[in-house]
Amino acid sequence: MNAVHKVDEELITKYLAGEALPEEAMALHDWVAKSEDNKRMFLQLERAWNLGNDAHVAESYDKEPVWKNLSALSEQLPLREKRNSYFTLSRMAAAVALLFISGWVIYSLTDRKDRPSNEFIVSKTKVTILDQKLPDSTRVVLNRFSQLTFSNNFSKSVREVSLVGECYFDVAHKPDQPFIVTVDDIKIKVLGTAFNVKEDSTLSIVETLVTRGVVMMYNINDSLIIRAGESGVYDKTTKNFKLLSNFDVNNVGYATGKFEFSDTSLKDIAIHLEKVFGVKIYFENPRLQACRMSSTFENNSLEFILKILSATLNITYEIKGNTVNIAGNDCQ
Amino acid sequence: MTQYFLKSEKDGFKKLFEDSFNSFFDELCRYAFTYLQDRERAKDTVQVIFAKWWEKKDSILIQQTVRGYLYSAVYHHCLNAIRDDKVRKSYAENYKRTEAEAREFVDTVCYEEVDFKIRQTIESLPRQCHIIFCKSRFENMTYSQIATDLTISIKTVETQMTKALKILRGSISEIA
Repeated sequence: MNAVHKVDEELITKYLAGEALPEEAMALHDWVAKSEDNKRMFLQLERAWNLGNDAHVAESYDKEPVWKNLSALSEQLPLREKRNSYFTLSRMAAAVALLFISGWVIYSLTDRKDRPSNEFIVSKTKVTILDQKLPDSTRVVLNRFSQLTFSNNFSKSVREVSLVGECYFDVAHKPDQPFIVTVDDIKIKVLGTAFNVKEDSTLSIVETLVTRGVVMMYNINDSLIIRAGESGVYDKTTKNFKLLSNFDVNNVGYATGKFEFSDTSLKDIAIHLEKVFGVKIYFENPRLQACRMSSTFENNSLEFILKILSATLNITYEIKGNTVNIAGNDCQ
Repeated sequence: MTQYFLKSEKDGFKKLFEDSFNSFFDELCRYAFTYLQDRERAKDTVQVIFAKWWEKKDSILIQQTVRGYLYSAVYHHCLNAIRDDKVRKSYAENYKRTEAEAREFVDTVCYEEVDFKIRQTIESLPRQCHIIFCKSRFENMTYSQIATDLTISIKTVETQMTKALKILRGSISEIA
């Protein structure tokens, strides 16, 4: 290439906007590779073009799978050693067949549901619980430190989301558009129901609690049907599914706002309250943790629940920001 | 920079093919991405380009570098892809649809602080600059489409786009 292209902000902008001619793109790539300063300037502009989202900018393209496909192709379409018209026809037929095959390979690659480069919408939360609606009006309650991702093709035919952490789903009923949650290496498929999915990395499990309807948890080898009131556990290490006939409704309290304590220890109550209200509960007197009580709450504030607890168990509490201190003598 | 000339000599070709793949795969993907705005599609495009090159190796006679040949192939392939299935259009529609339907959802949760500030910066760009940038960035219109649309010269589009990106870069480096 003899034409010299001056690389400046205008050319970089043009390139990023998908306007660069082949020679311009080559000149730009060479220019970027030439010095650290050039590279820095380019990355800054690229980042600006990506609106600050540089998640995939630095990542190189994975060439291994592409090379594999190409090798398969080159094996079946060998280099021509000698010109022999007798073979040309069969060779051409092979070439046509191969074109068809390679076309299929490429097609099936692009059609993968987990193709990473779709436009994704990521819902991510740290300290708050998010109660939101997806485009199909499915209600999702995303627990703290969790992340839900769905693509811009969401709700076209199959509604697919992927989850890290814990989320409660109240799925809008659409029989012809299954709703599929991908967690770790398994999937959970539903038609219309309410359930909770929790990926617990400490225990290395994925737990699904179904409050309404039926869901199916599955991976490539195995599957498990879970009905309302039941829960399913997937062990990430052994890759086994297990069905449990019941679950503690308080585990989904963060989403439903409901607590049902029946002769529950104050220690366990505190764990549920901590999870739902995002607080830390301290006991000045550890023996208080053994106190037990029964009560039902629905959409009540932390303050309200603590008031009931303190009146019932004859204890005192103090809320300071995100911490709650519980004090008192032994409960009667 | 490795420069090869296209010659389909039987022993050398396999090596040339493999070397070219290793040297240029990534940059070709990046180039394709600028047109397609989709990493997977960009990768598929480059795969097709190499597959075609392999298929045509006996008949192809090009008086330029392999790199130039591959870049041109990517360029034409992308332009055809955009024209044929109107990638840009559907991409823009998807963006709008998602934006509208999921705005509430997105607003509260998706954008980290950086994005919020950038969006503020975009809003605060000079009017013409703002319109041109949004047409290119979010509606995926080409420079010439924008020029026709606004009855201005392509040069003006280039200038305004450069200006917009410079301002955005400034606001990003402030945050970072």
